[in-house]
Amino acid sequence: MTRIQPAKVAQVVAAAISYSLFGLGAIFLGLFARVISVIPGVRATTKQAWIRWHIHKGCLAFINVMRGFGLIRYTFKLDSLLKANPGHLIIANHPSLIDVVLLFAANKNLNCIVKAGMFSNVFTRALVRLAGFIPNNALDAVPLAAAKVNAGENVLIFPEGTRVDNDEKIRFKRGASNVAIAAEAPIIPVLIKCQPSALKKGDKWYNIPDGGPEFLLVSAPPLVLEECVDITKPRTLQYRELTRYLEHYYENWMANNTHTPPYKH
Amino acid sequence: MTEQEEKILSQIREILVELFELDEEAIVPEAKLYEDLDIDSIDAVDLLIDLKKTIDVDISSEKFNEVRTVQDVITAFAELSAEAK
Repeated sequence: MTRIQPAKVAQVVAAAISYSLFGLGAIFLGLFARVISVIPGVRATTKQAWIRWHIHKGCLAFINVMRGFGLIRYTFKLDSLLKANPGHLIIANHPSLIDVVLLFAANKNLNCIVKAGMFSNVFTRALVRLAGFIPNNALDAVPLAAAKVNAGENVLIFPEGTRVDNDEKIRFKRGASNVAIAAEAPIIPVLIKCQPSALKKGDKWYNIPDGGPEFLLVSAPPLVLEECVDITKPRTLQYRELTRYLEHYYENWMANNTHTPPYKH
Repeated sequence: MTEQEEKILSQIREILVELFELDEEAIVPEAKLYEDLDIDSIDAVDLLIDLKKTIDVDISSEKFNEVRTVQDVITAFAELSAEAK
């Protein structure tokens, strides 16, 4: 039998507390949204701003609790993202469970695509509806996301679709390209590095490396569509060309240990 | 396959090659749009716009959502152009 190490026990307890707080926070936000949703005389845009502010602060509090317990470390180099005028598509690779939390902690006003089930779940539906999030319904998600980008929002999409191991070859689905091309919008790429890798798909939540994994989030200057694809071609070809372009872009970026965004290739 | 269906197939072939960088040989009636030809629901919207321009039949996007194979596309368009006559 392996000996139980006190430090490991403390870490598992800390992780359990962190995730419980996250769960409680999520329930609180869900209830808060339900209360807000019935307040008369307040504009939907105001309610949306309230909800998004709370999501932002909640995520920030969560990652600071995790950092306080020594479960994670993080560094944000997101100037290009935070200074950009809205109306961009934000894309990021997806190595860990908390990528979306880190991005919401860094951004006060971010939209994202969520599981359509959250719109029917009694705990989450008021929250995602008031926050103006986008359900991932097969046909409606792309035009809706494009409309939100054109209305001046920053919409986050993980083009990989799901968490993947960082070491695997980059494989993007076409959804992010569909949105960028439908909206004719610039793309701000974000690189998420997590070392050593943790909280990835298949990892147990309590299995955290000693000292906590170090997260580094870097954003690149916006990519303009005309520079990535031939916009005179049929859109179906542009979707494919842009997807390949972004895959290359991330492959080069990940291979580059200085984390400086790649420019042209 | 009727003569009309043959004609529609060759029109579909031309459009699929142009829109999706496919090999002509891959576009057979039994080919599944999504699994075999990597044409997803967003692509299908663009495809339908092009098909309607070429074949000149007004097919609804609801009906087009039901197609799974190249043969389904042929059948849908053949039926509608028969009705139009």
